[in-house]
Amino acid sequence: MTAVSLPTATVPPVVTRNRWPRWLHGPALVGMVVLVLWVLVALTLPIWTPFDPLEPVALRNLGPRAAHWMGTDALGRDVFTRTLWGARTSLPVAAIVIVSAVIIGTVVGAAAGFFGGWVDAVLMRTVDITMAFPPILLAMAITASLGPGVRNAMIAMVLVWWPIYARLLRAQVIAVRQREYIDSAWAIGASRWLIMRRYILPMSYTPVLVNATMDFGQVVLLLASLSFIGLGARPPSPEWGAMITEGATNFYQWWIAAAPGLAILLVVLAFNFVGDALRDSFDVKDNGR
Amino acid sequence: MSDVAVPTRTPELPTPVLSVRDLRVTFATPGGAVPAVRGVDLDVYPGEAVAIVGESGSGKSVTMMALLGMLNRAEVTGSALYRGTELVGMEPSKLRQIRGSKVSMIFQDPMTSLNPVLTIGRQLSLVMRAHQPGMSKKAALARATDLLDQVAISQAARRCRSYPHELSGGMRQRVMIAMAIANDPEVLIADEPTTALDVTVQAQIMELLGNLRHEHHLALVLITHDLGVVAGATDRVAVMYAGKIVENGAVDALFAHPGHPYTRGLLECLPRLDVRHEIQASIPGVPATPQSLPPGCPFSPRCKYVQPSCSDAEPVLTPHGETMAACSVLADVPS
Repeated sequence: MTAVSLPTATVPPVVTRNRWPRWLHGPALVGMVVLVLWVLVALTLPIWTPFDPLEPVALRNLGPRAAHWMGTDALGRDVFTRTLWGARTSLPVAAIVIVSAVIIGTVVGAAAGFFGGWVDAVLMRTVDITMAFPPILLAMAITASLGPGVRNAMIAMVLVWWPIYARLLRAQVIAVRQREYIDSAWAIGASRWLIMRRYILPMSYTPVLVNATMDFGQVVLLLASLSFIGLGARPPSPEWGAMITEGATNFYQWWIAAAPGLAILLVVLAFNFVGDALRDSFDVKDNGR
Repeated sequence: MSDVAVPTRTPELPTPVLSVRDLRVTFATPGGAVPAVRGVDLDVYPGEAVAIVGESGSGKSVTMMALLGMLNRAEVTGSALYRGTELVGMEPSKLRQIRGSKVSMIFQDPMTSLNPVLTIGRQLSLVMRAHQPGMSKKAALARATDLLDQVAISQAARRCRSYPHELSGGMRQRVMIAMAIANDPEVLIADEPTTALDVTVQAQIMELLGNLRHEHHLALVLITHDLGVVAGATDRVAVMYAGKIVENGAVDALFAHPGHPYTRGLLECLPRLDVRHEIQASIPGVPATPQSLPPGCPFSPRCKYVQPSCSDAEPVLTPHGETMAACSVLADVPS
């Protein structure tokens, strides 16, 4: 309108964005399908399962057969049903742990990276102290001191997990903060909060998201481990780790431990496939596309 | 001192929109305090274009960033008045309301100055809504389209939905300019706005800045090391060397009769079509750095008119012909 005399800047064609995610193929697609199936099973299980997971439904220690695909355990409960029910514990717990840890880690990491100075020093030394312990050991110690149970195991896992994300995010925030567009955001009078939220965080988040996806499987595994040693879910609740413990005492009935073991394997593997693909696709160095 | 910094001014514009007095910027480094800006006086009047010229490290960008409060780890002293309001030492939240609204700034490299994860329209909206909290998203987006139109980006509505990586360098600089004028500022500081662009695009951007200046009655502070850009685009020039203004004057006078030996050197360095050169002229030596200033005149080690007295005291700006120049041996040197 006002600047009609100016030569108009040429317009390159608008790139049409492909809706199907590039990374979602091969193993990642398989992993995704497995995860979606698990979530569907966990959501709809009570509607269609013929057996109660807590009540004996047949003779004890029956091997796999048509009526009981994964046999029955030492109390005569259907192992396959209990294994599927396990997803109703493991998946939500993993989700809550990861989301909580990501939120705490984000706040801490962003504050440390953005403000620097003594804020950074105090927060990061806290992170260092936490990460100095092996995660399983620290989680065990915290759960043991809080008392066994799924809720306490969750608290312990969040406390163990958040420093990873804090450290990841801090490194990214420090890198992104140096970029010139942050200066220009200052120059337009954007507030710290706006700069953090709209300019720095979206550019810093990728590694956290990728790691969180991969860690999902790890948390499932950690919960099972805690339950296995009696610190997580308590019998008779159908939780994978606790079920493996029961299987371990009935060594010759291999199916009792094998079914939950297989479930853990499937879930962890699926999350790793998806996480791997995400990491590759977000890795600029390895991404010529 | 105030009359010294304003040598040639048209009388109908008496109050400067931006008035800088004795601005000093010192960086604390592990190797000691580094005085990057050592007392700058500058007035910018409404609607005029001032160029600040100097080599890298002469303090031209730092001066402008200091008065906008954009230097975190620097000690800034002196005075910078925006319409009578002191900017130096102003509370950060207050200064933020001026920055980007009354006084805005654009940077050298448009390729890296835009947020890569927000669409152009969103970024423009953010700038406006940061300063006008009552503005609706819809109104902001409509104005964003209008702004892109003003900076001569075609298909503005469609461009609003583009991400920065989908635009060329010249278009991105236009977007930066649109962001800078979004809140109708009175002063636009352009820090080497064309350095990163192709020569043809440079000319377009300079023309755009000139047009916008006249349409919006915008004072333009052009930071550059390119005297060729200065000649056509500005009214007044301040030449900086080692953190001080060494010459200040109307652009025609300064080009025709440069007072300071450094300005002369800069002008001699411009390639000319009408003179046959065997070797392109240059100023010998390296620019004085704030860490190691020579005694007296900081330019003396490179100056071809140097006198023994040059090392005695640092010269101040004094009238020389139609410009003000900081050189103590000027009287003896024919221009």
